[in-house]
Amino acid sequence: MVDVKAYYWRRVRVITVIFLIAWITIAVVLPVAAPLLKGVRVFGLPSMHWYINAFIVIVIGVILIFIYAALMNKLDRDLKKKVSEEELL
Amino acid sequence: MNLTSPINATIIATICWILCSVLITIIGGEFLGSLIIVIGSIFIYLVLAVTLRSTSVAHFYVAGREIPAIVNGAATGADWMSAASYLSMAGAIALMGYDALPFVIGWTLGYTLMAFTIAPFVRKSKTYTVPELLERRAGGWGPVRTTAVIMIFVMSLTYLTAQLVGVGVVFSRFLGLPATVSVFIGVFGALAYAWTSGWRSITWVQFLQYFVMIIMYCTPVFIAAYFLGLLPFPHLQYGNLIQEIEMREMAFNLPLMTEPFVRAIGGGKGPINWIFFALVLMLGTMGLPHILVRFYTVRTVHAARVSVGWALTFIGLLYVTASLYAAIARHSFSALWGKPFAEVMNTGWIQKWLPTGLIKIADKNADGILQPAELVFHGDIVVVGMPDMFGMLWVIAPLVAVGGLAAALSTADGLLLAMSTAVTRDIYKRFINPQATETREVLIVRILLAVIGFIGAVMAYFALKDPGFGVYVVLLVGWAFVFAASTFTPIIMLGIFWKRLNRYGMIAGMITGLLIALPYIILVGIAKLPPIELFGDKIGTIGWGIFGFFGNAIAAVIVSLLTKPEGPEVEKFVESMRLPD
Repeated sequence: MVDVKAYYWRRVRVITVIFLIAWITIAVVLPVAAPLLKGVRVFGLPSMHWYINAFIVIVIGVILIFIYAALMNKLDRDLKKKVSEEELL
Repeated sequence: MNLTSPINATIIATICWILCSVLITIIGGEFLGSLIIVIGSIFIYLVLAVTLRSTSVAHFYVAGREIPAIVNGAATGADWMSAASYLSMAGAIALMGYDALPFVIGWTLGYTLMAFTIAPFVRKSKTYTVPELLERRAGGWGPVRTTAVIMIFVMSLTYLTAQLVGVGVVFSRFLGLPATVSVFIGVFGALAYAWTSGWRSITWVQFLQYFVMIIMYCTPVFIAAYFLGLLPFPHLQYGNLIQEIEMREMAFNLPLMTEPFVRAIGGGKGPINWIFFALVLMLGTMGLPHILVRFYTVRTVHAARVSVGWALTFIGLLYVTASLYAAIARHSFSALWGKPFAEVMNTGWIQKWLPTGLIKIADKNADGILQPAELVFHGDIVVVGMPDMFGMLWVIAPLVAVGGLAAALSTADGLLLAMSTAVTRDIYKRFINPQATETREVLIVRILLAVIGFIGAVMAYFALKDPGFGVYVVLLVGWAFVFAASTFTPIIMLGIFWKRLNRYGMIAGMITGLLIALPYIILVGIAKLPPIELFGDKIGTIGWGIFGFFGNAIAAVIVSLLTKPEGPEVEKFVESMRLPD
């Protein structure tokens, strides 16, 4: 039981660190680096340095939350299954 | 049919609202019709709130913890997006271009960080309020709770004032009614929704208000996009619009709208200040009490995680539309540059808005041609004036006002309730009368709602009467983010992820954060001393908050390590926050 809980928290920490890095990428690295892309235009979009901050990072931010929720909710279900299996033994 | 069910009652009220608006318009004309459209919307929310009335404390504090994730997400969005987001942000981007983009990323990406560092754990703590959570984390030590309540007031009271000022602005901009009087109409609405059953009634009202707000915000943009040939996906197609604006700016030797770091923001300038400003807004978002409460109101931890995703989806919709709004408005303005004065003066929307003072035109060099510098506009014209720029049907303008009112009222409600419940549960029930009955608690919440609402309304009244005071209200809202980022945010994050954090560390962290943030705000923000420069970039008062955040975290860690750990009971509490049921 204790092992399963420790395992769970270790996994949570790994997931949290990965998402922290992802967050730093969209909230700090991309916005700071954006001006380097001035004048880069794709299709009918505005220049990328503008569009990254006005649109792209927000969309990625939303997607990240849903991925995190899916991963964690699955991890929670796995833990529950393991705990109930152990109780059966 | 059950007429008192919330859905039926709301539908019936909406039908009445439409019928009344049409009837009054036919009888009394456009102005009276607009008035009924705007004020009638307040009554629809009221009908919904009344059908949800209750006297259970669980409903008042945490909406009975029974709100579905997607509804909670929309309600968070309405809670979050204020009159300033709705009315002024697009204008700020139109005026300041690239240098206003920290508002867009700063007021959205905080949710992403919050989703995996705070939201699910707050729900899991099973507490009712943030001060209660902090006290439990500090081993039941009262002073932490009291400090937290004081901080909630510091952050929320000016914010509430700003929302009520927003209500006044909506009424005066769209209907020409005196803003000072309208404030009291607004506070009546906000009070009534919270009065009926606290977080339960306002959550569902906010859910409705979110959709009202986003539809009314997007309608003029999509109509304008139709005229400009930007349909079906204007957000993906406005590149050429921006290019046209840039060409006009180049023709007049102006700095480009999209040029980074040429204008000041938050009292500072340059790339370092730009990113600090955005980060403080993000970190501040995570510590604002009326947003944190939102994660108590969902059914499960799973729902809490998903609900943050919906919240940012709904919030993001408005924020990505803001830069489109700004581009369209700037396109309309820049079309007038270089035109003869007589022609400009004959433009319909210029004629309509000149008397309001939101647009100022003066032929300074007397050449009969409008130079860009001779056309000055207030940021608010972008949203309120858009329907006129494209000659839309008159009814669009009052509908946009309905959206603005929804934005202001929903945020005001969240703030009012965050403050009233904090005093009731964290001061009255905790320290004064621990044996208080449920009826008594609900009564206290309701009395406090009225008192705090009245205080907010009076402050808003003075802010509108005296523009000098009004300026400080706007600044104080920005500083609320600095206070949140340098007091609550680091402590809550550390409290979840670091077991060793103890009561002394928490207090030391919050005080250190304040001691770093507050003097800079007083000296630079109020006494107007020159700001500190980092690598040649001036750091504004908001950007400075980043040092409050890290100062808080460092002080909390050092003091915790120097004093004794909290012991097994707190460790168990932390573990219960981390593990699923």
